[in-house]
Amino acid sequence: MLFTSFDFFLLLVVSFTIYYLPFGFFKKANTQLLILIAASLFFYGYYNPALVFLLFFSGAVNVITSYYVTYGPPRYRYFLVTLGVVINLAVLAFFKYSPLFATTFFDTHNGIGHFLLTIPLPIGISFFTFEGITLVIDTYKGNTESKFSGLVDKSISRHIRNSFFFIVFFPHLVSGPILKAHDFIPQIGSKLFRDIDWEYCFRLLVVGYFLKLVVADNLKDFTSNIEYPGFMTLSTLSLISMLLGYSFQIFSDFAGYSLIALGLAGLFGYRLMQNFNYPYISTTFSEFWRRWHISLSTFLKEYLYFPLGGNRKGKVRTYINLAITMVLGGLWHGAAWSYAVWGAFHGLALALERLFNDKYTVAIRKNSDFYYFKMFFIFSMVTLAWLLFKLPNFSQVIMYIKALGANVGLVTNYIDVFLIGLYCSPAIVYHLIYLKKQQAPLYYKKMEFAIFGLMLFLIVTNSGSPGSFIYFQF
Amino acid sequence: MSQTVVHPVPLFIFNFNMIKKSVFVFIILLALYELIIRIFPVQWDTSQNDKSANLISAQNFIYNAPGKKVKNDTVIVGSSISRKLITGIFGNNYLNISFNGWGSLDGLELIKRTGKIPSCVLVETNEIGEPDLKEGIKSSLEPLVYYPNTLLRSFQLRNQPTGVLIGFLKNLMKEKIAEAKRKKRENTELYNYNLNMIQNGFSKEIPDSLLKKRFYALKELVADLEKQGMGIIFFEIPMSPTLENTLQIATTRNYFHQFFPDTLYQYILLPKVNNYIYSDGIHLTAESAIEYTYYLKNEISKLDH
Repeated sequence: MLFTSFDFFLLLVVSFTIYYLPFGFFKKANTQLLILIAASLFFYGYYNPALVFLLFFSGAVNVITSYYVTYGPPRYRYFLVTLGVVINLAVLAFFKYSPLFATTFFDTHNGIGHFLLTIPLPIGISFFTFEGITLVIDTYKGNTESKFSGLVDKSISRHIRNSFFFIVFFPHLVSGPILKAHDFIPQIGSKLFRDIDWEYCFRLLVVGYFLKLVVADNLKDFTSNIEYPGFMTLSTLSLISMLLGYSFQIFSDFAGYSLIALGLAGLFGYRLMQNFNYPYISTTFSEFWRRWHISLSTFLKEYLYFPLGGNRKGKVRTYINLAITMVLGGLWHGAAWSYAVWGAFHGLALALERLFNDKYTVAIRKNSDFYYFKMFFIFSMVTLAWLLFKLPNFSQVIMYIKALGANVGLVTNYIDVFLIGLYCSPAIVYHLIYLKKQQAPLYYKKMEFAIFGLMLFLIVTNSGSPGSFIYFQF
Repeated sequence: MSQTVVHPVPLFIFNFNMIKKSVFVFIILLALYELIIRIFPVQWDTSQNDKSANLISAQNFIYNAPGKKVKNDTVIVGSSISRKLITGIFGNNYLNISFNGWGSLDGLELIKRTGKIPSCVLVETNEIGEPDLKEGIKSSLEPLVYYPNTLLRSFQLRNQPTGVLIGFLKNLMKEKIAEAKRKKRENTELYNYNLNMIQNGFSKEIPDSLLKKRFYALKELVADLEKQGMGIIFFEIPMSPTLENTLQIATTRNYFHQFFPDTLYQYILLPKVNNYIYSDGIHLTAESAIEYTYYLKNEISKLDH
């Protein structure tokens, strides 16, 4: 179900109303959680009810292992946590990477290759699998670290309820943010209508829907031209503008989704982690990854980079760990080698950046020309790398880059270039306001209501044609 | 003695200062915009890209934006190549709901879903399209969208502020745009590359099962609409001679004649394709589109319908 659909709106109204019914029975945490679990299963299985069984299976594996990791015999705990992680990864690999495995190693026209190629990709599997892994690992850590203790209730029924709710809660279920068990489970409890922070929810929902419907959905109808062989006949300026458009589209689409998710969770009394923090103002690659898809980058850091040794095992090993983390992070996005190349590109950039920082110390004054140059440089590199997301074939990416240089003389459609610029502008202003707000916070605070009013107006009058969220495919 | 009044339910709605002010601004902007477009209705093309052009055409048909009933009209359905036809040449009772990148099935399905049955439909046979109604059109028919859109013009796609602005700019730059199009056409290297690309695409085989599925859907639709008194005329628009007999075009042509035999249905004969000029091999230039529209009009007048 899409956050932008009428069906979802109905589901939200019904579940919100029942959730906050002012009778004792409905105020109980248990009833409220059951209402949200039911709504979430309906949300997930709306187009394909069979998928709910996969969710049950994944949930069951994580609920059982996390319970026995905490209350089972200590000598089996390490084995159980390993088993839990392996099963999660096996399920993910089976559904997500079988087609890649098939096209790489088998003949896809018949036999096992054909079978592997036809395995469907269940929506949101990358997200809820990672959340399952955090549940199992966090509860294991809870045996030794106080930060992670108390995640597993002694009562198995309450544990099943809490853990399953953590995994299926619909605002984050299909596209994140990827929650960590130790951040979310302690919030579970009875919620009251009077505790809703309306302004917080309003801001998130308006900005989220604006970024998705007005910016991303409009840009999508221009960036759809980044398709082989169509792009070969477009001028350099058109190619550059489409690439910029795609960069802002992917940001607005995913950041918009994440903001909507945060706003929706807020309506039910839960706070999810911030997933985007103005990533395009970054002046280094490491800063970019602290601002872009934060829930994934922190997951990769905590559950992959640190266990690999992080930066504790010497410089060379640190660079290798960075590269491994980013390549696997790239592959998490999709079962195609171009995603691995995208991850490798970022891994290499991070390693080179670290190597440079280890050797030289360059002090850069904030708001200096060089500061803005670095911001522009990082943005350009990140944008160029998005081509690997948009074009499925690596050779097509090379052709696109070649066309950038070769098509200078072709006629440009300036109307399209203008429109792409126009639709990118809110996302650019969104970042600029953040930069400028720090210099004149009161001025922006005073004007905020007018900006929000304008965004509401544009949501109802200037939304693009309906489209699903880009990150659904991951 | 002063007493604190405790509300059993806190009056949240009155505390939403920022929210209240934002909603107020929103209502003022919407009311102003609605007023402006009612006083000064937009007379120019407000489409921003192929997709928005399709959806605007569909919405104009659904919401009856031109302000007319279609009972006595002839409607043209087809793909982007039929969009080039100049409906004004036919007369006032012609409507064109051809779609860029889609096909005749989409237009016919739209006619069926809206229940607005014209007296006759001209069906382009070059591109059949897909049987399912596209998402943007489907949502325009949903009650939650349909009723507000008929009530407030600001909600309709043709009145999108960006579209209105871009249409205005396009009008100002009309000559420059025509010049750019001419230049593009004169680039023979680019023209041949485009033509080759389209030829390669048209030379790929469409699975028989897929074509049959589309044609059975078309047959069902046509039968259904005929029952409601609608006449059908098939026509094929000329394409570059290089593309005229490519695998996909030839197969589709054969399927049409197989599913809708000449003995039962009326077809407009394809004129000599060499007589026309194409902007990219597949679409007629503005001049050739005028020429072909006159040809089509003349041929229709000879038919008994």
